[in-house]
Amino acid sequence: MAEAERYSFTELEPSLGAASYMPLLPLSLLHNDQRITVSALLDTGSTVNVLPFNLGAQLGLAWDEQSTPVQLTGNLAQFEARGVLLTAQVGSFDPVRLVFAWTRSDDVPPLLGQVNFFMEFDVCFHRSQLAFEVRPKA
Amino acid sequence: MSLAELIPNLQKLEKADKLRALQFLLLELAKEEGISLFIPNVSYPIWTPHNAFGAANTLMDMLAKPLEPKRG
Repeated sequence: MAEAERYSFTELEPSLGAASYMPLLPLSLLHNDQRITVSALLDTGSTVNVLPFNLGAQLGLAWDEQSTPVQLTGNLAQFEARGVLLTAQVGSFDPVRLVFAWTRSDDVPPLLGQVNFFMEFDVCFHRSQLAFEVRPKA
Repeated sequence: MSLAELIPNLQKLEKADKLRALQFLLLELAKEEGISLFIPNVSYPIWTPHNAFGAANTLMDMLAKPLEPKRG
């Protein structure tokens, strides 16, 4: 089993004090020859991974070429979304395939959800220590 | 730097930066006073797609398909 990598929570809004710390994971996303590094929110309440529109564009994704429509829920339900397959690399772990709902919205951060980030990685949250650990699935 | 020295510099700012300066001061004051900026009875959007099971099934189907040959 690979060793876990430990990350610190990120303070999003100093005026909110301790409440604003969130588990943001730095990871690389790759599509064809394009590679970007993003900070994505580990969101266990999210059923799927979500990629905001501008990041998909940076990866060279063409909206009209994505043929799988996806219907999201909540505040993202009002925006069209399409399924995209990307390669993701976390820390020093081997790259994995992650599938995302690529949304037309730019108001959302990249979200890592149950399908399929939490299927590929085991995460342990140590909120009281403002830290979390990630390791690939066994 | 005193306020008297700061004011001429503030006057030179573009409108958007003046608003950002106001926002900065507001947040600094709130932090010093320990005031939460969440306002009662105001909605703050949550973007999490909760219970998006249709989306999950669609994306799982995509993962299950054989890999396409790389383009180029």
